[in-house]
Amino acid sequence: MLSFALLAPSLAVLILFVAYPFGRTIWLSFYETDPFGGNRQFVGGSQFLDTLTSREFSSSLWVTLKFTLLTVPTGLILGLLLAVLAHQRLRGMAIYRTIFSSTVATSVAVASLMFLAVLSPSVGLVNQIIRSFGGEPIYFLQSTTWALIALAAVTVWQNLGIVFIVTSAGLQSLPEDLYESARLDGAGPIRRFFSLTIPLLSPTLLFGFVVLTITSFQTFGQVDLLTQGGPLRSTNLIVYSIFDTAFRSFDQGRAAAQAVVLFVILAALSFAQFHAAKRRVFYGR
Amino acid sequence: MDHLNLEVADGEFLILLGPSGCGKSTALRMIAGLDEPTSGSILIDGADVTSVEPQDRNVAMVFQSYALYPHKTVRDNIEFPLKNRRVPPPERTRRATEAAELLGLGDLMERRPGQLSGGQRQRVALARAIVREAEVFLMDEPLSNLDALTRVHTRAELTELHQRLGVTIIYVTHDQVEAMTMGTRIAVMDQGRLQQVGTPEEIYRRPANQFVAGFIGSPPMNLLPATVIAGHDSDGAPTVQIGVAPVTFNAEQIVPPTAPAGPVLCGIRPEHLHRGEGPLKAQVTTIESLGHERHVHCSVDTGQGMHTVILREPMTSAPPRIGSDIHLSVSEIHLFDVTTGIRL
Repeated sequence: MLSFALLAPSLAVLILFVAYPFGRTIWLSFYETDPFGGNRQFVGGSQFLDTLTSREFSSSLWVTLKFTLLTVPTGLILGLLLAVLAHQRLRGMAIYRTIFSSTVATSVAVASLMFLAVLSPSVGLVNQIIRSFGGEPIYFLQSTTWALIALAAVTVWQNLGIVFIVTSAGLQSLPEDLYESARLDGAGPIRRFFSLTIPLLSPTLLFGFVVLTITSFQTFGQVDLLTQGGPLRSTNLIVYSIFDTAFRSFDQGRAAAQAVVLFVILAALSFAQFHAAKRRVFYGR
Repeated sequence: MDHLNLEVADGEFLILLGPSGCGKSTALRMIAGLDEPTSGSILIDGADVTSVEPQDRNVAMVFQSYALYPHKTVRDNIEFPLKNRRVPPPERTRRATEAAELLGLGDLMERRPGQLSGGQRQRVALARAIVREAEVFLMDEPLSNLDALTRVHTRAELTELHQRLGVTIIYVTHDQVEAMTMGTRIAVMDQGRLQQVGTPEEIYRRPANQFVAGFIGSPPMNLLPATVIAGHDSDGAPTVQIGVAPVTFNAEQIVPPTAPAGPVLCGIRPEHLHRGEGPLKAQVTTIESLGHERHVHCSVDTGQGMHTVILREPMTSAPPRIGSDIHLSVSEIHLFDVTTGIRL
């Protein structure tokens, strides 16, 4: 009884903000509603069928996959490299550590506004540099070629902090004498990085890989603030597409079905990532 | 480290012995190239290696934690130094197999360190050092993580391995039993300074100073304030007064046989104190029975306060009663300068 009482607050939060919305979404996905969410009609699995056969949904999924491929490896590699650099015992490194991890404390809105300024065709820093080399300004957020890359840049920048913090913590837990032993065994810095750091950090890297994949599939704020899914749906990431269906097309049942499909895709993807990495990740035994 | 000047002969098993923080591991790490001395030089086989990178010094090291690569198999751990030196795969396999066979690791080659016992891990670390065919083997307290029984076995194995391979080993430990049983010579260190270098027997029988006298031996040497009353009596034997009791020694009992009159620090090994007739009065405070011998702790009035002395006696004798007054005779004493602690 006491254990239940102690667990009750956490359980209440979990039920109210996770279990109930989750269950409600699944329930809603089997109903068609009017634009105000009322007048429900049970339609079975027809909305799932619509979602899976919809060109719009598969196009969003494809854009999201490209976005994931652009953001996850880049974010992971950059974060790891910064962590390795900041792990050196050099004077003033604490300042760099603070700078590198500061993006964690920056909201999506602030990051998006910063990049809006940096990528501006008229006054943006990037276009000023391009102009200084005699190039034509690039309309990053209005170009079907560049918009997704620009969104990816914002996301990589924002994820850098968390990847840096997680990999830095991982690096600090690696025993120093392994590296000293490797030096005596004749391993240079590159060999030490690939033969020791990467394998020993593999659980941390897998964690980062899975988390970044999930967050890239859930990206919404940057799209809403910078491109609204355009131009020509080139940045219409899946969560933005679900939002569009629910709150612009007012088709809540169909949006719920899309959300459930996204959940299944993410669960399958995470399982596949863990399964594929099983042989390559070293957990300490 | 403070002015460490030490020469190690080819094929020698030298022990760096001292308490925690005395600088013995720092000395070893400087030989390995992992730490840099602020001044001075390190020579290996006549060549100055002070500013040479660790991987180019041709030294192998066994760490206290063994420093095995946990994600690699035993085979990959042993082959790692050879791989880095671009030794061709067939030779790599041959040398790793030979080293593993030598240390009885043949059946464990495909296991990971996490699947091995402490003793087996220690042997893998040794195999990884041996396979290098290095000029110098450095060992930093390699037995300290083993249980008592495995430690005894591994100690003997290491001594045998040294005899078989004839390599130069510099071995760091704070365990004097390891030092006394394994080393051809022992270098005793304290507070970054070398206190004495010598064979285990020399270190035990003729400690250079008060620190070595008190550090070597278990139980350690009893150190008591005393006074040399006269350099020699008519027979040439000095008289030493501990507390109220003047004790006369013949030249064979006192090391050194002569000493100037005045205050000294008197060192007596526990085995050189004997119960029975004798000039020293003591009171028994504690008795420790170890099965094969007994340590009797006694309180002695030295005239400068009460001091504890420990005497070692065989279990065959009847034990004294705690609290009883006894008389002690002394068969051998060492004299140290009361100010500097250096042997007189």
